[in-house]
Amino acid sequence: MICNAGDKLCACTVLQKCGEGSYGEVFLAENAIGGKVALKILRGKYSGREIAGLKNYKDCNHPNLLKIRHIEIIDDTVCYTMDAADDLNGGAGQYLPDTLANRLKKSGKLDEKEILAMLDGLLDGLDELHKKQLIHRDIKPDNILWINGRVTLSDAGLIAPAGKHTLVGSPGFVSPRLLASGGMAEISDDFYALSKVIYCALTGLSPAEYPAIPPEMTISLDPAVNRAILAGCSQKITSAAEFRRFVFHAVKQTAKQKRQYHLWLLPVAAICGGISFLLYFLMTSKSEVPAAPPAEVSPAPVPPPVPAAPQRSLFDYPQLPDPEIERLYGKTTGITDVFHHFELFDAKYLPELLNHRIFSARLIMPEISDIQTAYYNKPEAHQVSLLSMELQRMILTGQAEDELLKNRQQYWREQSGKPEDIIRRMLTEDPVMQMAAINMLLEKFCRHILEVKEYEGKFNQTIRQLTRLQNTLTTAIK
Amino acid sequence: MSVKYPTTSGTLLEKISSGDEISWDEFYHKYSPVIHAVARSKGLNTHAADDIVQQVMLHFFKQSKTFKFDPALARFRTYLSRIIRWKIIDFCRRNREVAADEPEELPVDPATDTLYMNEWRKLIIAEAGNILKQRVSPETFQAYQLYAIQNRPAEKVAAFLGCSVNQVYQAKKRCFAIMREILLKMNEDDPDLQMELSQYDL
Repeated sequence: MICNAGDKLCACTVLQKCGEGSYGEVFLAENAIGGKVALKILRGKYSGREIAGLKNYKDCNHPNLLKIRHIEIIDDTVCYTMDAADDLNGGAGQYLPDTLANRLKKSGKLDEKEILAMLDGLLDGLDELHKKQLIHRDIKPDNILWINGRVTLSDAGLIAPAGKHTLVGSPGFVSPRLLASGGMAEISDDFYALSKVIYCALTGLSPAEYPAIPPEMTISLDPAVNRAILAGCSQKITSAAEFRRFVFHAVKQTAKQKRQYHLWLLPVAAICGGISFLLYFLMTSKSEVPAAPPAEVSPAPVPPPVPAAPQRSLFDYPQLPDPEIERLYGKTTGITDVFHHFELFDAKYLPELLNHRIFSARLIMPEISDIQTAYYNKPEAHQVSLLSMELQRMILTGQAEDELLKNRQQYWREQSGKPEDIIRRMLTEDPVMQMAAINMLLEKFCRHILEVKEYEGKFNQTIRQLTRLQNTLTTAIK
Repeated sequence: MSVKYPTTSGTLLEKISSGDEISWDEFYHKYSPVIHAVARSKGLNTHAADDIVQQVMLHFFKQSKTFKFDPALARFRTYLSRIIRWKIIDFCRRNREVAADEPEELPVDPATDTLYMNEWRKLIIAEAGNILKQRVSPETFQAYQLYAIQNRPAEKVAAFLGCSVNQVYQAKKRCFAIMREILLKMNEDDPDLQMELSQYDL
């Protein structure tokens, strides 16, 4: 069907053509009361598939999914109207639909804030589809619109139930898994396409160039988004909630870290001071000269500077005798058990632990994202064991920022034996590492108190318990 | 949109050399910079160089959206170079009076040959990068690209990718080894290329 400006169709007057695909053409049109709508006219041979897609879509009602307003079948031609996208030219000049593709053409790429806002809406819309076991199958920049400033996923023509066996989509946005399966679509394929869309928006590159990063891109700004892209393109993401956790939690963490940088200085300084003091104490306690009896009024000790590279072995540090450990920890025998004792293994804090500053989480292990994914998918019992394992490994393998901790880590890393045995010995025999673990938890909970007020009572109590434990441990070491 | 997807994962050059179907888009994207550079080196302005690109494209694609190269004709590099020369001569003839003593062929020009080879080497490096992309994980490729190619600080790269600095170094080491291996193979297949490998020494 040939359509020109001024033609009447679907109870609308055609104004101008604004898009074209292999399935048909899209026009800007005006309805009877002067409202702007988008009118899609399908080519005959694709009509059946499009109608099937629209039937699948008819029960989906969500602000981030494009609404179909009116549909008509004239002879073999299907035409329908939808909400029209905003005008990217703002009314100046010819109407240019506000799609992601047009935005990228105009400005190259989007900034992080825009991407996150867009992603937030798209995930909501996709979630609605996926809850109904439907798959979009054609997520790409041309199909992402802004309507009254709200991001909207458009083009319902290829929407099909999960498991549908037809290879459709747009090159660059179709997952290798889908290609290999010959078109057996799964929900993770939508997240693959979405990840590629985000990649294009973040880098300004075409999907074929994935995973290249353009030289001009500031990498310090977008780690969370990039990691979500990597996870989505590896098809590790199977739900909108998972994608959301990947991006938004990490972004929240980054923002918090940036915001609270100055607050971090206090506990870090306190830890460094404590460690310096500990080192000073340990060095002086090994001296041949007997320690002077305590003066009645002793001046406050001035901590000496931390030696650049302390050359100490584990056995230079005082060991806690077993009965003393028993006394301190009650029935427990190691730091992991202490954490269990205080019911600190609440799996929802795993990401925070993983982002801990003492052992820079970002530098810890490549498997972190895998573990996080596993953590979100496993039952509670497994979460606990993952958390405990992760915390221990973090202490052993994380990048300690303090020389003394580095030294201690190096020692433990060089020990032979099973990793779990080394970790167990480290946390029961080495007071420096024990102190580090306690400090990690203290910081974590202090941050929570500052940020999450509704937990205040619970965590205040935990902090008091931990502080007592820290004091007792410090006294025992002395 | 319904699309026929290529199932081969080979690079464009591999596909051309083995006689696979090549699309206009792929060809244009890959070879237009080389054609353009050679045309410019012959003193043509940008518009004329664009015209040469179009003429070369038409030669390969004629009425079709795809073309197949017959590997029996010649090495593709040599064949493309010959077509570019012919199209430049054609263009020059069409745009000026032909002098009676004007040569049928462009004279041999070592400077243009060197430029063509250098442009071709850039293309080969890009092809090698594409092969590398298929052989390592996206994370490893990004670490290599950001640290080894773009010279960003290893610590920043590690923080961006959520891995250790050591892993960034390992990624570079691994990718350098693969790049060396790929380029060595390309040198074997086309000895005139003489790809420089020292930049991939650790």
